[in-house]
Amino acid sequence: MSLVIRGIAQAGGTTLDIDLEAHPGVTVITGASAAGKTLLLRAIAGLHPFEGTLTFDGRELGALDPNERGLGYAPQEPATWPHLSVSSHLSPFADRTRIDALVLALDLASLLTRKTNVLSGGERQRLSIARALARKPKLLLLDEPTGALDRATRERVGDLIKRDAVGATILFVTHDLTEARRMGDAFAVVESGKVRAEVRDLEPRD
Amino acid sequence: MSDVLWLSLGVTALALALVVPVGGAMGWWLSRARGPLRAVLDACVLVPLVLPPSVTGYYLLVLFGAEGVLGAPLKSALGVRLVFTPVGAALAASVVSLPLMAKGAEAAFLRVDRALVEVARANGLRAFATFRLVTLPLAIPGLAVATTLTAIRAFGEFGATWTFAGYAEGRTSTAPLELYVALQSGDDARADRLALVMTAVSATVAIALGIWGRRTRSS
Repeated sequence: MSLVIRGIAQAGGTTLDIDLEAHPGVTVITGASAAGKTLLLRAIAGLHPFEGTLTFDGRELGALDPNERGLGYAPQEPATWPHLSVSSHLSPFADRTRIDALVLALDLASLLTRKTNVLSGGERQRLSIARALARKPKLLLLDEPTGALDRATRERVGDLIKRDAVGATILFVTHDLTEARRMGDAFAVVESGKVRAEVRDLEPRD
Repeated sequence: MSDVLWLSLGVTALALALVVPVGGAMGWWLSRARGPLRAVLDACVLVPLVLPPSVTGYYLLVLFGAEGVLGAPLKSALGVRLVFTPVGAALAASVVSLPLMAKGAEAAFLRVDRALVEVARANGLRAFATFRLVTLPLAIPGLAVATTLTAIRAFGEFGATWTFAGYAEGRTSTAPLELYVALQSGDDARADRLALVMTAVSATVAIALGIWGRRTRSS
């Protein structure tokens, strides 16, 4: 269940030279703003052009459409669908039992019938995480998924992700070093147009 | 008078039944496609908008007239004749109003936030499911505006209908054609009434569209 990505991703004026292996557990991706962390996740998801090798569990993903890659994706902006209720966000991906468990764990149970255009930023972000987790994917791409949450909620949601997606390979982008250390089983840094695995624990960075 | 109005509304409804799915599909394709083929279709879609309607009607006659390229086989194989029929009037109204539907639909689909579509696809929804769940509902307000403008244009169509479908009382005699005939025959009172009815229908639709648009933006 390992992800291997080696090659070049491009979007707009940004080019990213990627050499990364990620294994089951949480690989935290760090790096300065606009370094290309989002580009890395979007290239894996098939939302940006990528030239090179991209395999997960030995299966080549590069030629597949995004929906065929078997992943869960929570983008940096929650991208919830404003015309749909919380329940309708999850029903295409999971059965009722799974939905009930997710909304309970993420404090969304009382909002099931609400349309998301009336939710707060934190509620929409939790819904985005629930949507990514719903199908129990083996590969999870989470782009600053807790950025709009307070510290306590962030820790609780982080624990939930690790508990719910046990055995999955998770790429978790964050700027928060405390969160990075708490969540990470492995680390990778996006810097100077390159993505490299970090063998040591994270040092404080600017 | 009411017969004329009902015939006009019937022809408009028939035209919409044809042009909404065709123009909507064209608009969707135009919103996604790139390259030379897109440029060609884009230009073709605009042709009825830039051509004088009488010229559009003439081409329809060449294609679908009793001796036309497609009209002759239609008549001999199926016994179908379009000239002097309500279907012919609806076809003329469809072609003339197609650019409004196609370009309006294209704009409606382009306004859908790409990120909302991408997140659906990346989380495993197939293309059709994404279209049904995300793209289409979010494009509905723009599609409704395009449909309304198309309907108004089809309701008021004159030149292509006159040239292609001709004037046949009770069959192709839509309100704009009746107005012209009334003027030609010196029946000014009837022309006044027809103009008033058409103005009332068009203004009602335009006002309703404006109110609905404000409500949609504020919700």
